[in-house]
Amino acid sequence: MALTLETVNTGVSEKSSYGKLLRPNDFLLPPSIPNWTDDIVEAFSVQVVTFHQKTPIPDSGLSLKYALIAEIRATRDGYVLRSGDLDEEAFGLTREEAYLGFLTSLRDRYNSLERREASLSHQDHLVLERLQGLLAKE
Amino acid sequence: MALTVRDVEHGFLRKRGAEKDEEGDHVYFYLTHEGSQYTIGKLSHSWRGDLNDTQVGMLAHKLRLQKREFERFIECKLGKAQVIEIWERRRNET
Repeated sequence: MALTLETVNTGVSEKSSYGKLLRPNDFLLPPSIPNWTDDIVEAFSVQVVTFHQKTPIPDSGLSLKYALIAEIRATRDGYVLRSGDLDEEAFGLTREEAYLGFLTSLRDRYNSLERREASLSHQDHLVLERLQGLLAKE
Repeated sequence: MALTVRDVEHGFLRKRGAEKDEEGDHVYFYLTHEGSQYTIGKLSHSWRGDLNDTQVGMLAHKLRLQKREFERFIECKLGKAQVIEIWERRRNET
């Protein structure tokens, strides 16, 4: 709960019109609070993250040719990091685990798609092309 | 009842005839439809036992399905062609 609250608070300005709904005390109410509160928490727990240019991809000799923008969403179970353009996402119990899982997913997806390049569907071929454009050998 | 990693893997491979690529830290599943291979799911080697709601949601999202639709797909109650059609339609909508 503390992590979710922290995420919400970092995503919402004190001057926000939603500030009243998201004051810390609101999250300390007993379980009788209505369900829509969870939806609000979920909606405001999405943040944009940037992987900087030259970020190394673990155990691959690859790095990012340019900065990559993705979104991270806090859920009751952990964190989901997602890039819609790359059709890739990763789950972690912590933010760090999600970051690492995402980067290793890029590596594994890239390698996996390259192995079957000749038979890929159009959509998967587009993902491969985007990964080929994004990843560079160090 | 919660879906397990085994349910999903069994569903993809045995019930759906998908192919798996597990050479990395993550396992990718490909379904061949009309001669083309589609990525239909990903499991991580670190995932064990019951899948939580978020993980099921991620698997469903990969196919642009709702969670219940995904469960039906795993149970073979939703046809392959139907899933591909939903997938392509919803992907174009987003």
